[in-house]
Amino acid sequence: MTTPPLFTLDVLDDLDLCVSGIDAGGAIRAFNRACTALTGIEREAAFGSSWIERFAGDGRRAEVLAHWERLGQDGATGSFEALGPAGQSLRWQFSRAHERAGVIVVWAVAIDLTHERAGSARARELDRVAAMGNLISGLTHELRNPLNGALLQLALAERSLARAELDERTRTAQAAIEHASEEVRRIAVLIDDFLVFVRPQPVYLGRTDARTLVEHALERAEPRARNAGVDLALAPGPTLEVALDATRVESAIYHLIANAIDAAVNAATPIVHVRVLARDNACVFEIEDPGPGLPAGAPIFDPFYTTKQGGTGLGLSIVQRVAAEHGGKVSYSHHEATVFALALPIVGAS
Amino acid sequence: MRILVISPFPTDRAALAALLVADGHQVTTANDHADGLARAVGDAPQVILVDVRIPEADGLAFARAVAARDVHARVIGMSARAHRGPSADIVWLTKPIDLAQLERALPADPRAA
Repeated sequence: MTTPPLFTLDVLDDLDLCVSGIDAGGAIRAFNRACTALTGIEREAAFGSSWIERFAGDGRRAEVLAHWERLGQDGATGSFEALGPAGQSLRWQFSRAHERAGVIVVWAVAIDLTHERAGSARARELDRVAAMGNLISGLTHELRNPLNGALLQLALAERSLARAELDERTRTAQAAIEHASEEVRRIAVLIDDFLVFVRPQPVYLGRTDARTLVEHALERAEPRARNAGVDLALAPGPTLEVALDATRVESAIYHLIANAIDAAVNAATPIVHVRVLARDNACVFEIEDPGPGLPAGAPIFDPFYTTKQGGTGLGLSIVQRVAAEHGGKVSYSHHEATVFALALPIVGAS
Repeated sequence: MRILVISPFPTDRAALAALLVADGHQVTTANDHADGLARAVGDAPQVILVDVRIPEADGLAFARAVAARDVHARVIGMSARAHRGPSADIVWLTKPIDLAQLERALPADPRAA
């Protein structure tokens, strides 16, 4: 008398898990719908074929056979990972079949690890990018030390010459020092921009006179304007107290002024006009240059977009970021002149 | 004004001292924090310009060590790392030092420092 089967194999089709049954000769004797869905192999094609050839490959035959050998001793199970026919990462769990399963001696259940593996690959990639970011940010910070030394020495040379009797030679030296200082300052600005970009800093709001802040930005931009032969003009006006992050906003205004200077170089009247106004409960900084303006529809606020040779394309995107951090906005218009307007809400304005 | 400049970088130290002396200040220098603290006690500066590596850690620690020695000086920290959070103990300047900014950081009335 033969032992009645524990269940018919049809019941395996109710499972969401891929279950395959293997006979003593290593041939597939059960292959449910979930296996077809996972591997793309039809049940009819799977039946009778060698499990090892389909899912492990001949090269790993001994490894799989060793797993199967160990099954059943003290309820041992085995697990085996391999790429599936559709390129998935599959983990096969082997267990000894009950004798009532008939010809089937080993069950092999597949778990699809593809997403998990891809997730950890992404996590590893993110870790790598973060580590690289830390390295670059550390290195970039360190660059400020030699730049500091260079600028201090240049300032010293500049002051010493300013006190000397000026002849043609000392004037040439003075101009050279001024140009060198300006170039070094450009590197410092690039470093600041880069660091703001890779490592956004928290915003510190403090009550500040907007006009004084613009004066400081103009003071910083003055050597650049002088080297370029461009005049800077601040329109007269009253003081205007606003809650803002002075360092950030000053840097944004400096960027707008520096861009305006670059744009004004070839103009007939190379003057950059700067205005500080209160308009619609906002403090508005307007920077106007007589340049030709920017190409219509150009993504001027996108990072890395630039129309300047040697530009990084970070300046305007940083200005836009500063505006957004303060709940304000930056706009561009070009009619007879080019005007960038940075508008920041006056907090507590009535 | 009596100013103590503390920096491990000899070129920075020399240039800052020369620039400040040219502006009419009396300047002494030190090359590390320990030497700087000793000078702070001995020279009674009104301003201490100190180079710090990590603003949050050694900058604030230095400023507090100065205060603990009863030295009433305005401490100005210079660092390659930006630190802009408000602090009662120290004024921060990020390198490279903007001389106009340094001038604004000096107390208008040194007796009030």
